[in-house]
Amino acid sequence: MPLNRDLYKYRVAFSSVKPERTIELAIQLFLGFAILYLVRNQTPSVLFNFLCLLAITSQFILSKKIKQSILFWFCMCLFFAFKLLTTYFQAANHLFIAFYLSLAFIVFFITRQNGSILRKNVQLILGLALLFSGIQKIVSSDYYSGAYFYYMLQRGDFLWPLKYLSVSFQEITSYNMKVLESSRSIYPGGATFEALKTPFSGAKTMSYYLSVVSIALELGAGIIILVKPKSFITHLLILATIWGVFFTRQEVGFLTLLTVMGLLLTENKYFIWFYTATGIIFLSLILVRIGFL
Amino acid sequence: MKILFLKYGIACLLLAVTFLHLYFVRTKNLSVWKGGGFGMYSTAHHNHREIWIRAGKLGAWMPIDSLGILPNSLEIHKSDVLRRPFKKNLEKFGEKLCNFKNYNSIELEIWQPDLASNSGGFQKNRLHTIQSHATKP
Repeated sequence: MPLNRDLYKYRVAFSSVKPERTIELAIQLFLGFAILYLVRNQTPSVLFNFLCLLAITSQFILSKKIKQSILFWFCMCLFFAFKLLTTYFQAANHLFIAFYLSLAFIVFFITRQNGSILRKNVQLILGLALLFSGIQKIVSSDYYSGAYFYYMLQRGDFLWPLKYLSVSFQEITSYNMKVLESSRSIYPGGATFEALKTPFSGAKTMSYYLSVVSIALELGAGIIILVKPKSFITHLLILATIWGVFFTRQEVGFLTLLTVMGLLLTENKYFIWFYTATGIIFLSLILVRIGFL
Repeated sequence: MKILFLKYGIACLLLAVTFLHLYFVRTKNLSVWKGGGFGMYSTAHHNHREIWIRAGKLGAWMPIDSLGILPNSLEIHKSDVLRRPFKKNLEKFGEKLCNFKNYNSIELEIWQPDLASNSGGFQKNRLHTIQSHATKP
C-alpha cells in the first residue's frame, strides 16, 4: 500500500492551499492592477510615473523573493491618497477601493502579517461596498423601477453586443440616439420630446426584473459577506455578482479589486482557483483595453 | 483599543466617505457616480446632463455646445460642473463664460433626462438655475 499512501499525501498537499499563498496571490493581483492603473492613468511627470512603475513592478516580480516592505505599502497608499485628494469628485469608485485596500495591506504588515486582521478589514470593505451599492439602487427610483436599464437598452449602451446579432436592435438604438441627439438642440423647458422606441418586445419587463435581481444580488452578497465571510454561498454570490456585473457593464477595474477581496476571504481551493482565474482574465482585458478602468 | 482601531478604522473611513457622498448628492446634486458612495449605474451618467445658457434675461436659450469648442480650461470646468453642479462652482463657471464671450451677464441652467417619463414622451428635469456676471477688469 505504499503507493496509495503516497498518492494520498499528494492529494492532501494539492487540495490544501496555505493561507499565506492566498494572500501572496491576492497581493500579486492587486499589484498587477496597480501597474495597469498607473499605465492607463499617467500623471504629467514622466519621472514620477517611471519611479512608481519601477517600485510596483519590482515588488510584483520579486514579491516571493523579498520581504514585503511596509515602506512600499505606505508609498502605494500615499499614491492612491494623492490621486484621490487631487481628483476627489472626479475619481471612480475603484480608486477609493484601491486606497482602502492599500490601507488594509499596511495594517497587515504593521501587525506582523496578521491574516485575521487583514481578512476582517477586507470583509468590511467588500461587504459595505456591495451593501451601499445595493442601497443606492434601492433609493434610486430610476433603478428599482427598471427605467435606468430600459433607457440604457434604448440607447444601445446596455446589451450592446446585440447590435451585431440583430439588425432591428441596431436600427432602433441608432434611431433613438438620433432622437436624443436632436433633443439636445431644443430648449427643454416645457418641451416633451418624441418617445424613444422599444428595442425588442418585453424589453421593459426584462429591465424591471433585471433591476430587481441585481438589487437582490448586491444586497444579499453585501449582507452575507458581513455575516458569514467564509461560507460557500457567500462566495457563490460574490462570483455571481462579479460575473453578472461583467456581462452587464464591463467595469473590469472595479471587478479586479472585488476579485482580490473575494480571494482574500475564501479558504476553499476551488474558489481560490476561480478568483485567481477571474482576476487574470480581468487584468488581461484591462491590458487589451476592453472594459473600463 | 489598538486592535479595534486596526480592525474597524478603515471601515469607519469608508462609512464617513459614503455618508459625505450621500450628503452632497442629496443637498447639492452631486452625480451619484462620483464621490466614493458606490452609486454608479443607479441612474443616468452625469454626461447625459445638459447646460443651457442665455445672455442677460431676455436672450434666447442656447445649448452650451452651440458655442463650439471652448478653451481647454473651460471644457474641463464644464465637465466638472456637470458632475458637481454646486452653486459656487456654477457661478464661477458662468463668470468664466461671461468673460470668454464678452457678455455682461448670463443665466445658466442644468437639465437632466427624466428616465421615468420615457414611455409617453421624453422629458427633462431642471436641476439648477443661476445668474452670473462678468468680472470687471
